[in-house]
Amino acid sequence: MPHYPYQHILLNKRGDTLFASAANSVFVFSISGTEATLISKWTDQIDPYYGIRKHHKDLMEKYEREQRELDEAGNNEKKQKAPKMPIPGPGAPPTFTYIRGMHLTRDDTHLIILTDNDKAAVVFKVNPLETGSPSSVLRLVKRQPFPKRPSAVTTSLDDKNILVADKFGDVYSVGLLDTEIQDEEKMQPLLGHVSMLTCIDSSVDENGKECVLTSDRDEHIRVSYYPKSYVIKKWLFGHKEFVSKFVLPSWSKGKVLVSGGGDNFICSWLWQAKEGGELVSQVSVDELVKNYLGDKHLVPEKFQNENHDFKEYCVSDIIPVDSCHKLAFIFERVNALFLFDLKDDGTLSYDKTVDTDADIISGTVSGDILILSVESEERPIVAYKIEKKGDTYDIRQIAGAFQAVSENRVEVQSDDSKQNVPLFTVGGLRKRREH
Amino acid sequence: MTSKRKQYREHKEEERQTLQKLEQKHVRIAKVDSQKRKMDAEIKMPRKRFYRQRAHSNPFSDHSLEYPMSPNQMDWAKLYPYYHDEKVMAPGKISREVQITDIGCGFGGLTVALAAEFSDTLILGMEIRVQVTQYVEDRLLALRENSPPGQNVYQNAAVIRGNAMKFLPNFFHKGQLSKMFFCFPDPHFKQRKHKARIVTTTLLSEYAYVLKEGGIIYTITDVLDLHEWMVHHLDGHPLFQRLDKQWEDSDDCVRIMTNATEESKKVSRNNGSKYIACYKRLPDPEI
Repeated sequence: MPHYPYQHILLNKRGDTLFASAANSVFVFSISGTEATLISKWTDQIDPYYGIRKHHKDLMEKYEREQRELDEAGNNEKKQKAPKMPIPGPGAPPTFTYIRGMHLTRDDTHLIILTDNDKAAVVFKVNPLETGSPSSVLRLVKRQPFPKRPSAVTTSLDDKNILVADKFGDVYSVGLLDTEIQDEEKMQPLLGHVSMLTCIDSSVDENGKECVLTSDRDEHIRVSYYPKSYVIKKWLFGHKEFVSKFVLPSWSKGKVLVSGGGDNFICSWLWQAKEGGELVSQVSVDELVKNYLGDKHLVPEKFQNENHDFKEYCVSDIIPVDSCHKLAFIFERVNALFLFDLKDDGTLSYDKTVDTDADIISGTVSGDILILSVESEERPIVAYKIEKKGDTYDIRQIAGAFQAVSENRVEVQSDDSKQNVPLFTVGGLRKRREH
Repeated sequence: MTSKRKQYREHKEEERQTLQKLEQKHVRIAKVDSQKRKMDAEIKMPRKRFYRQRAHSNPFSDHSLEYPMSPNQMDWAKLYPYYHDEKVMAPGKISREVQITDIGCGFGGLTVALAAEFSDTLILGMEIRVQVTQYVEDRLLALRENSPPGQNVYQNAAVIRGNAMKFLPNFFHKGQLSKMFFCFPDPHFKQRKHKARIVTTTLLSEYAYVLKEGGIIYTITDVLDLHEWMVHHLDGHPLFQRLDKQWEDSDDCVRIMTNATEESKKVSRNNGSKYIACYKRLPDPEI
């Protein structure tokens, strides 16, 4: 059987540890030069039918309670049948056990992963290898379930709380180190949109007040204060389609926000500027991306044009490259990385394109090392070195780097691609606006 | 074969388009009335039975809605042509801002009543159902057209089809509104549908954003469970404070909303109860 490519890869700030997730497993590699060594692996053992069983348990409890009440009332006639366990039939969509997201705390001490089946955030303490055995590299702190499926996660600026954004549009805040698990039914959201959330991050505003920023499927980027998030500071208006990702690059001291999504342009904002004057650059990417589009970008037949050649694309990730003040844009199912320069005043301008052998899934940077995960059976990991050359920077591929990352992988479950964990899901956020 | 209802609405649609085009060309010219009258002897009030639509709409679905990218891009002149003067204003701009919204305005009873009561204030009804919105549009156009010569009544009321739960901040600036009405909203009885209710703690933060300090949220419903839900969420929100019974009894808007909307008349006919709760927007706390 072939293997899963890595869905998420993440380097820590020091660049000595790489976290890589595929399906329901997280691999931890220690990095030294261009060598990687596997130091730990964690596989999610969650029952794939967790949701169904939980629902059934709730129904059973309700049923038993009702039966007891009937018994107490002395009424034995109208007893209902006990609820059956709803086993999905052969035509039911497959359930996947996979890792939806992976995030390191600001101080790199904890890894947070988002799971699909039980809608949880799993928090691990990351221990350096020298302090223990490989099995103690990732020490589970807690597994906190949420009412709805988490879609993005960040931490408050002091790393004390994790902020989990979900597909229902709500954000919940829970203590990072708090080991007591909260009842997800009783949790109160910190803030909420009426739209699926796609990205979340924290920063401080022009007055030094902490803010939480959230983006959604309805073109909105919202800025709310934190922790008093019921006070909304503003919205950033400019996108016409869903926003899938935004970043606050460290070299602009949190003043500049760069965003992308389903639009054929990307945006940079001085988000702290006066209301309505935040947008600095709106750079069209159509000409850049167009040449890389293929049949896999054709829109579904129902929404197709007369010539049946209408293609759509979207930004799936943005990676800030601190060492050269550039932003690397990943477009879904595109085999190239697009680099843009970001000045301190927020101006965004195209720099260059780096072609890759296969479609890029995820990417991560630390120092002068850039690692990409691509959809390839033979070489799922490609590494680059960023070198200063006079006034410009050179992005040079490092042949054969991090071999161990390509060797330790998860086999796919099935020959039928529909039964395997989907790799590309961002394009599905596009609204079709019927009725 | 097209149904009678559809035919009727199509005819009204044509009428509406002709009228709106005329209006945009001849804004604020007194003669316009007689010109229009020549075209169509009298604009009849629309008949509600041709516009009926089921009472529910899913606020989470991707409707094809028209909304501006931001409040600055909103074409208000299209809705309130009387307040646009092309000689001195940029396209789309009007001489004052909308201050009152009727969220889920239904067939527009309250919007119309408020327009008469506050003749100097712009009122916007928002409704998610297409045909119901068209009815209110036709109703307002007829009211405007049939106003006595020289009196420009109902120019201060307009309606749009929109989803206030998703796109309210696309229309209004921070602190722009002084009153928001939520009259007989969809109760969404099922537990799992509760997020679809128009008043929730998280949505109240957005309403607080568009409301000015001291601005008021009015709620009225005939469903006790929904009333308690709205009170619970409003009470729990740090930016809202309930106004007491005495205030309710002395407020004109409470009187109007209790008697003017189609829904409130229906409830009265059926001898139903009406539960009222009004809240004041408090100043932002120290951040």
